[in-house]
Order: sequence, then structure tokens, then C-alpha cells
Amino acid sequence: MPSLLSRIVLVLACALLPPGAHAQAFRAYIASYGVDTNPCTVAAPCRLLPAALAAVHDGGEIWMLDSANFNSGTVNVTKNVKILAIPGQIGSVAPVAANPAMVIAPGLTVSLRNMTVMTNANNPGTDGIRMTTGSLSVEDSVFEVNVPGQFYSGILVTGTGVLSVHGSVFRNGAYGVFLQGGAQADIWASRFFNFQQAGVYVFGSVAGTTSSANVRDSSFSGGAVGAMAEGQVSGSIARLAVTGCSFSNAQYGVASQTSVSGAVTTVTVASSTITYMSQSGVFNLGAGTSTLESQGNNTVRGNVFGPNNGSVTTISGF
Amino acid sequence: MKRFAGAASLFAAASLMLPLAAHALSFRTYLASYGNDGNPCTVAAPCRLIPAALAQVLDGGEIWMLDSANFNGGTVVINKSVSILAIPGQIGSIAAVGSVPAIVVSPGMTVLLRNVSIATNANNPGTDGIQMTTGSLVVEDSAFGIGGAARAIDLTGLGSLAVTNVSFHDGTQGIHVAGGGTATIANSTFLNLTDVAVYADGSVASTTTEVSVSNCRFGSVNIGALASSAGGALRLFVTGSSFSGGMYGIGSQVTAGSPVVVTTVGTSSIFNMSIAGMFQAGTAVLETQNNNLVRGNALNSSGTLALSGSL
Repeated sequence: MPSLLSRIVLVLACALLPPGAHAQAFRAYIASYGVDTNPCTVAAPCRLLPAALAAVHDGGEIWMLDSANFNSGTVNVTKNVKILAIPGQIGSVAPVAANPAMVIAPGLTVSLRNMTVMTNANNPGTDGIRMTTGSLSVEDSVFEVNVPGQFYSGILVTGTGVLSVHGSVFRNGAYGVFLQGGAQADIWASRFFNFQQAGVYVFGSVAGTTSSANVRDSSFSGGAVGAMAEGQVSGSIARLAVTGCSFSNAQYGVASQTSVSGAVTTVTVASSTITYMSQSGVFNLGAGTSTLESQGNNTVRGNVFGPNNGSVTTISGF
Repeated sequence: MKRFAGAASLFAAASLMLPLAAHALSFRTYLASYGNDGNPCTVAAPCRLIPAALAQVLDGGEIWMLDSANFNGGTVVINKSVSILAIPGQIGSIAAVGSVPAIVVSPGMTVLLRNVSIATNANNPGTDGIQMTTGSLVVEDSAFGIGGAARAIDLTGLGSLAVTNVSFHDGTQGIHVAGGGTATIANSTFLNLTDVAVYADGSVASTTTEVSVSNCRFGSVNIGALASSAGGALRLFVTGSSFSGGMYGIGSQVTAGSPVVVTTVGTSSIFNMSIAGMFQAGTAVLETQNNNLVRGNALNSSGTLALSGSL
């Protein structure tokens, strides 16, 4: 039986524990009616993502219980975590005050679902999400990162990170998804509208790295280029595979380009439709190390300057 | 009159002494974060955890989760045919916790799960997501996050499994089918799995296991879809699916003996695999329909491929 003194000491010790020393939850909850001093439970949710991130266990989940904005500055994700708004709701994370909305620390595995990442027009931020290494999955989300005259991206991967995008919408701005430095992306059933540069851009900018994107069953319209691989540094490789996609009403649908010798780009297009481009359906420019392959089963029609600008290599199915 | 009053008192006393199981069971029972397991599991007085709702629902009935929360404290043993779903706009969590699976479906049951999240409790991890042998399981519009050396869904018997619009994130294996089971998997996503995402396993002799995969995507998994046997017959169909960023996209192999193993691949894309897009080994057959995009892999194929005609 503990003495009264020892019980008082125990109570005081518990009261003085810093928040980080509390047992962390498998799942933390946030809501528009939450308070950050709450324990982030379903009955007493927190208000903003940083509080929930502090409360959740590594590998856990954060659920947004209703629709609201859940950040006031950059959200630094420093744990493996899944962040989602429950079905029927959408959780906002805004790029604000010349900063990105979210930065994922290297090496983490992060999932986002039912989110909107949109620039705060009153006080614009920069990119939507930045990551270098690790893994990011984005599902059923919306990105609109548009600051006139700036070259920001909805999602920017600048390292060997792996990105997966499904069922998401990217609208307006410079780039939807920007990959470089060995990044890999798998993009499925998503839509890209009206990008000043490219909806999906695979950039060979680091020697000795291969950056790549596999794009399937997605649509692209408006803006400059739908999907593009470009090599600007010798020794870099940029690969892009496009299957079952639709491109319309932009300048170019799909592009492969190298601007220096020794940079390699390879773009493969299959089962896709490219129509009503103000320039050409596809373009391939470079010093012999840029390759644009077609599987011979694409529909490329109604483009002002014809189906292609530059050579196209026909390949067989597999 | 006095005699009647005595009989009524006796009836009331007998009613009070009835065990819970003798209460009339409901066609539908309800769960909510604000529920209580002492409640009758009605919409007005919902229960808190799935075992209480299972105890009070009729065989063939439904359990509705009225809001978003976790609804189990250990393994949920489903010993009735039942549909368990979170209502639209909500998601119901069933966690794998304490070194046991989240759900065990008893043999012969017909079960549906919809709008559920089945994830490992990171504080106190469990094992598999769902285990079943025979009967029927349908999973729709749900998410699995089963970490560690476990399987999200493990079917080891003559049962049938249908999976539609489900995501499987992180862990070891996604769906494992063995012992004569059949699985139909559509419009689903498999990400970050360190072993096999869809595994048709012919380890049980004298059985035929059949798995069909359509319109699915596989990202960063060691092997996307695999038919591998040392005894039982296997049939694996893959159509309209995308594989990228793993070690192998699709494999068909016989590791011992000469069981019939046939894998057919059509209208799929396999990109950026670090070892091979497709592989075939032993007496297994790997057919392609000549309409797949297989590019940018260390090897686009390994072993012998056969051409399969389209109808």
C-alpha cells in the first residue's frame, strides 16, 4: 500500500508530464469544433493538424471528422501517418504566407485522402506538398496551387521518393505533379486542368538518377502540355508511360524533350486519345536521346499542327 | 382474478430471468461512438462494439455503424451471416490489436463489409485483417492498413471472396487465397507491400484456386500478382491493371511437381520494375494478350511467355 506522500508525488508527476510524454493514440481526431488542448479523441477532438500529429502514434491515423481548414502554416509531417477526412467530408490544408502547405520529412510513409490543398488567395503560399524520400499516397483529393507568375507545384518530389496518386484533381498553376532527382510516381484515374507548364512533369535534372511516372486512365485539358519528360542534365534519365489517357484543348498532349546531350528521356503512349491541341498532339525534341514511343493504338486527331512534331517510334504490344 | 394476477407475476418474473440470447433478435442492430453495450442496439439506443451488435442481430441481418469511430476491442468472430457497414458519410474502424486478427469469419457464413477501415493498432499490433476458410465474404469501399508480417485478407479454404473499391496500404501481403478458394478483385489499390499483393497459393494439393484481378493498381509492392504452386492447380487472370515501382509485376510459377498453373494478362501496364515486368518459372503458363504496355523494367519478361488470343 503506497504511502500518502508517494501517492501525492505520483499525482504531481502525472500532472507535470509534458504532452509528448502522454501515451500516444493509434488514432487521433480533429474537427472544426475541436480544441488543441483536447486529447484528440473522437469525443474530444483537436482543432489543427500539428496537435493531432503530436498526439498520434507513429504509424497511426488522423481522422478529420468534418469539413474545415486544419492548418495555419506549414504542416511538418514527421511520423508515418495516414491523414483522412471521413467519407462525406473534406479536410483543407492551405499553402499560406509564402510557404508550402505540407512538408513530409525524409523516409516516411504517409497517406492522404479526401483532402483539398488550395492556395490561400489572401496570403498565398508556395507548393502544395513537398517531399524528398519515402512514400506518399494521395487519394480522392483536390489540388489548386495557383500563384500567378510563380512556378509552384501541387505535389513536388525532389529525391527518390515514391508518389502514388489516385482519383484526384489538379487545377491551375504551373505544375500539377513535378518529379525530379530519382522520384517515381504512379498516377491513376486523376484529372489535370489548365497548367501553364505541364500537368505531370518528369524532370531529368540530376545526373545518375532516373525519375519516372506511370500515368493511367487520367485526363488532361487546357494549359500548355499534358504530360512531359524533359532532360536538362547529362547523365539523367526521365521516363514516362501513358496508358488509357485523354488529352484535349491544350498546346501539346504528350512531350519528350532533351536539351543537352547525354540526358535521356523515354515516353511511351498507349491506348490514349489526343485531340484539339493548338499545336501538335505529341512532340519529341532532342539530340537523339529523346524517344517518343507509340504502341500504335492511340487516337490522335484534330490537332492544329498535326499528330506529331518530331519522330515517333512505333512499338508492338506485349 | 387472484389466480390470473399470480400467473402474470410469474410470467413477469420469468421474463426478467431470461438470458440475453433469449431476447428477440433484431433484423438490424446499430453501433455508434456514443453507444453502450448495455443498450438494445436500436437506432435510438445503439451499442458501442461489434460483438454486442452481433449478439443481438438475427442471422442474415445487418449491423449499421452510425458514426465514425473504432468498434472493436479484440478479434471480432463473425458467427452469423451478416452485413456490417458504416452508413454513407461515415467510416467504421475495426482494428487488429493484441497479436490477434481483427476479424475471423466462421466457416460457411455469408458476410458483407462496407465502408470499414481495418488497420493495425500501432500501439499494440495485431496480425491479419480478416481470416476465413469457407463461406462468402464481400468487401466494398473499404481500406486496409495491416502492417507487420501479416495478411490483410487470408482465405484458406473453399470460400469465395469479392473485393471492390478497396485500398490495401502498407504491410506484407494484401490478399492471400489458397486451398480451393475463389477471389474476384476489382477497382482496388495495393501500395507499399513488402511481399505479394495478390497471392494465388497452390500449396494444397487436389484443389483449384482461382483469382481474377481487374482494373486494379499496384504501386511499390515486391510482387504485384503471383500464382505459385507446389501442389494445387491455380488460375490467375489480370486485366486492365497497372503495376509500377516494385520488383516484379506478375508471376506464374511451379516450384515442385507439375500442377496446372495458368496466368493470363491483358490490357495491363507494367512499368519500372527493378527485376522483371513478368516472370514465368517451371511448368507454369504465363499468357499475354499482346495488348499490354510493358516498358522501362530491368527485364520486361523472364521465362517463357505464351500468346493468348482475344475473343
